[in-house]
Amino acid sequence: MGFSLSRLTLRILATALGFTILFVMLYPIIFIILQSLIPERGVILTDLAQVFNYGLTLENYMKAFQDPTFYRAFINSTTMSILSIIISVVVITPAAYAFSRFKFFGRDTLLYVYLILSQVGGGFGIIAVIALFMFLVILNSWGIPIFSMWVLPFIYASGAIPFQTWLIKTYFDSLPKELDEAAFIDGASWSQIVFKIILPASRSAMIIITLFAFMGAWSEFFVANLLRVQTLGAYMFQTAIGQRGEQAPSTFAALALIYALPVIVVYVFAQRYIGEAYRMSAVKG
Amino acid sequence: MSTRKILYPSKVAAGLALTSIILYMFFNIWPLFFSIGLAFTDASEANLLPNPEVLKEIDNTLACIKNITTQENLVENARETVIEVVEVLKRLEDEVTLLKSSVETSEDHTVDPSVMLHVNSVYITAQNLRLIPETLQRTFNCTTLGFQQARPLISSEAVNNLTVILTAISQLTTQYVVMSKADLLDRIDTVLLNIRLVESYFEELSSDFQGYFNKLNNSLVEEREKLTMKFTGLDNFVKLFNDPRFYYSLYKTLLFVATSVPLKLLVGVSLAFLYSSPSIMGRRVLRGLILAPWAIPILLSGLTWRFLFNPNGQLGRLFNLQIFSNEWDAFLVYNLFEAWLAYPFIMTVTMGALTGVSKDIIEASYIDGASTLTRMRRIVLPLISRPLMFATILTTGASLQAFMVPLLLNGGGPTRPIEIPGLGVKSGNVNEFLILFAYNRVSIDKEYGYAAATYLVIVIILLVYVTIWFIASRKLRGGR
Repeated sequence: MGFSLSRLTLRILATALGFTILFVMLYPIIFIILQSLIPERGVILTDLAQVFNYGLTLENYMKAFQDPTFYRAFINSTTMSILSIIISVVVITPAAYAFSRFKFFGRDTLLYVYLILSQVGGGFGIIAVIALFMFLVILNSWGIPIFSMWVLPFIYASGAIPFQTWLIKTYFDSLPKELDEAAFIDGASWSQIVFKIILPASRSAMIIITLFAFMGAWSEFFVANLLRVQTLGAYMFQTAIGQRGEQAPSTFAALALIYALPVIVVYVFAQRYIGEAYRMSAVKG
Repeated sequence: MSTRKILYPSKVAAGLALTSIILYMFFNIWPLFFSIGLAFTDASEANLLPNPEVLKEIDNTLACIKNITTQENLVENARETVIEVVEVLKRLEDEVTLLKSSVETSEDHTVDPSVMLHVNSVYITAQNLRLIPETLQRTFNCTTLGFQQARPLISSEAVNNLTVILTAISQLTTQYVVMSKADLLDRIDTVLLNIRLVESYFEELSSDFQGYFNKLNNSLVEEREKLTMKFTGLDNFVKLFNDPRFYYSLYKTLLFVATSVPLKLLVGVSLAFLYSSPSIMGRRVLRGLILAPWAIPILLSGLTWRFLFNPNGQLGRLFNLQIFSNEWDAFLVYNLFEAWLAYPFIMTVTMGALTGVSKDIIEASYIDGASTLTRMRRIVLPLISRPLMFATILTTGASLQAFMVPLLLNGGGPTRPIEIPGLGVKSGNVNEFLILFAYNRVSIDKEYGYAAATYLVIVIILLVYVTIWFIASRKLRGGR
């Protein structure tokens, strides 16, 4: 009896500890949500008593779309994300299929390069982007005006190529090969093979690409800011991260949460694949 | 192999993969090579996108100088004008000096006839100055020579000074009766000083006419050169290795790796052990929730931490942290933020490894009567050490390339003079980690050539890390 009681106490204590630590770790998130819910007074929350004094309201969220810059940025972000999804799907699906099934010159080398580049961290990516920026500036000085917002989705799609090619290649590897081989042997034409076999088999792959491409394009702010394209991320980076953010913390907390929400929702759906991707990196790495 | 070749022709494969490879090469690989080339030039915003108006102005002025100095009659004309100016100024100087001595010797300068006489002659001589600016304008005029939009050939300061002298003398000659003696002498001295200044300028011009224009020519050519991008060899690298800011940035980056990696691992691994404990009720849900920092775009996380640790924010006040003005306060918050961002990754990897520890082995160890410590050391640690090693290597890379953390929290600030013994002092941001350091050379200084050189050096540093990563991962895989 005494044994089970102490065991129960242990369980209660451990659970309490688990909840306390969860609260501590998620405190920043709770904080920013509360901050976005108090009426705008130009103050950053420092005390829970303030929440009771000011009361909670949704007006910061209501006001968001009355800000014309925010609205335009929202439209820009949507456009950029859709384009980047389309480009990623069109470009990466066939490439991943080729990497999975075909053997061609430079295949293994390229896969290694992709693997290293997708694993070593963000530094190379940022260097490549800044190098690209300098390249575009010089093209611009030669009179080639490539410096437009339509370059952005291509940059997003191409930046995700190493990681996504690996991810989708692994997915194709797990599909049985016999199906397409049988079709080849039966003498199906290439168009038949593409539309009847490859495309249906790639449906899930395309969904994975879509989720990742969306998260990448929507949350990205650095490249957009560099190329002066006013996406939501760039707008947030220019305003909230700076003087204006401190002057109107509640407004910008609400705007930033609106900006973050789609990514969080998609993340919940994509979580399964993210875990898979990390397992892949731990196994293959 | 042969069936594979028949069934999957490499031509088709190339067709399928080509667009992705081209896209990647164009947007990611090619600019890197391009920027290697850029590292050996002095590319900057000023010379990549120079103002065409300024360029035209300089070119016109250069052509105008050539025109004036090569045509005999123009040279003669100009020289005569200058000599005349010098003569007028000399005469004026003499007159003013005489006036000064007469004022000094007179008992009451307001009634002294000698003073009045000198004032009169100064006034008359000074009237000659009235026409000089216009004459100069006419003689050294690029517009009439067919060069619109050119810079003045004669120092406009000197020409303005002529007018200043004239005004001063007019005031002096009309109001000297109401001035005190000391005041008058003071004014005369100022005028004399001014006259000598202008005189020396025009004297130089008249004595070495060709030399003056050569000097002007050279300074313009130099300015023109600064506006054209050119190859500078290893200059950028020499500059980088003599830049105290670079060494300080390297030091700060390595220090950040040394402090943040153990912190991340400690937090991640302890959380993984805690939330794997069967004693916690509802741990599945808690485990899912605690990974939340992973789901949030870094911009929102950055904003949140900026608010929390703002000197006016809750935690900034509580711990009295000044992230915008205190170097080490900012560094501390970077470490905490990085740990918060990275613990979900470490935790996931550790938990994945822990679930791999089979229940049978644990139970067997219970039966064998192994202590908790032995169980930990002999069974759990060997099983999680390999995945944890991978995670450590990857997260070390993340710390080495930390960029968003300083950028979002305070832009790498605060700014203060950085001193490295033997290299001198340079003002810079004290928390600029390597990649941010180079980025700020692009975004703040707009020195693209220098930034490209910096990135080349950083890529080499990163390649060292990648090599270590590669060898270590090979070893770890081989040990399976």
